[in-house]
Amino acid sequence: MKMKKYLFLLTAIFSIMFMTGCDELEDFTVNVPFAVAFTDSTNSTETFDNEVYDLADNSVYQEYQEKIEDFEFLEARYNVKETLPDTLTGTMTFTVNKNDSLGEEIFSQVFPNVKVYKDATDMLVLTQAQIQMFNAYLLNMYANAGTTKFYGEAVVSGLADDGSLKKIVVELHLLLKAKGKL
Amino acid sequence: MKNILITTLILTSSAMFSLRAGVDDVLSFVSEKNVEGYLKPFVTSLGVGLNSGMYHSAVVPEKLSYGLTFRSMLVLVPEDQKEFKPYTPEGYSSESTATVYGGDPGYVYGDQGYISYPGGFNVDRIALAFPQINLGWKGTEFTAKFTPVLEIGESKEEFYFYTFALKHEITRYFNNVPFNGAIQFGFGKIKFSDQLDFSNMAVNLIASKDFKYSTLYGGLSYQKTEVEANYSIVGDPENADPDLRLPKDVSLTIDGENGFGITAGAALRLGFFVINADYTFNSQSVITAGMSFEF
Repeated sequence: MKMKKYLFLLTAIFSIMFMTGCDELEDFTVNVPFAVAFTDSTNSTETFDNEVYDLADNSVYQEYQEKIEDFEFLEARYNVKETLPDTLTGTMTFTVNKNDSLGEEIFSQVFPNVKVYKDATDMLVLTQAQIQMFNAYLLNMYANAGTTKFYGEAVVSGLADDGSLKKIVVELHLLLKAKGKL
Repeated sequence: MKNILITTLILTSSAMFSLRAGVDDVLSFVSEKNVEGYLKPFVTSLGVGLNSGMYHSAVVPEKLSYGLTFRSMLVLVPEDQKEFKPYTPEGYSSESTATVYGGDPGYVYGDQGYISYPGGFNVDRIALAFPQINLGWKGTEFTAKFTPVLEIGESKEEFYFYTFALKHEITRYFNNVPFNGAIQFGFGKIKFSDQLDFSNMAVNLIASKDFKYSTLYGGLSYQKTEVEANYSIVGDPENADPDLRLPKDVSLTIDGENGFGITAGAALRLGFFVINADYTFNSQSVITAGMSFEF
């Protein structure tokens, strides 16, 4: 009986000593990408479309929702999928609000006088204040104190005033980073 | 004795169980083309870990001998095994991303949007520790490390592992050899989860030299480790990676980067009590410490 106690004690001490300094394997980081498509056609000088995206529908978010402790905006880009005619010139404006059209604006990014054609892409550069507002909105989701919805608008203005049909399909791609514990 | 075995396992394997849970969560978002690069360093770790500490001498007594050892292995993960170049679909450039041991998840951008890869768990070293029993007679020794079958988590997935090895002292057939030499064959298996099933094979050539209270020993090993990975991709129609858009069952075998390893170590004998430590140089090096009761 005494021998068993010694063995038990030695094993415990030996194991704990060896484990000291070993890595914590509980932290994880995962990226959550999502895309919103905007489509509109016009005979005038401006296209406009708006969409609501619910992050709760995102499969990665669903998988990690319970374990996420920190959430932050990482990157955003637009990608033109289709245009009519092949090339248009105008001012593209992307706006993202909290929740719905009446929600507080998180950011609005203007690309003045750009050529719009299939596969055209550019990065949205947010200010530090906009990133902080985005991150705060994301953190509210985690705390279940807010909604998981985003409202987005895409406007292309200043198109040629020639009465012809103009069509634009553009996707806004966003990438979020989530951290948590297993 | 059973309590000691289970206590040892619980004390030393919490990190392993955390990693197990993490890997299980992550795999459903890893394409078949990238799971090998992501998991390979982990397969290597379990191989070098299982094969380490299988000996601390080439000597096997003629008479019946037996012993109980508590072995701890610290597997050191090199920096170059924390990243890999993932497969990317056409229109995307391939940039390095984290393996299971790396850090933040990598991502690439292309016309379908962002493709993101799983992140790693920021691992520099993995500790494994298990009890081991030895039984020797007439120059041949049987060694076993094992755990009982445990049911883990809400899903009650089975976890168990065992390693068996047979060592035979060769120099007993020769006279005037200034050291002891032995050959050892080992086979091990880890049922890590329903998704991952590891197996390991090793051959060790061992040499040792006994002094009054101490033994110097070394060895050359060849190891082969592989994992049978079986998991399901959740399927997300909006995923930019076409390989992750549809639900799919993935089944494949991943080889570790084990190969040849060299071990050098020393043991101190105080009656029936022996302590030893060694270092194995392999694609992931291992520091091993042992505490044995030998009779």
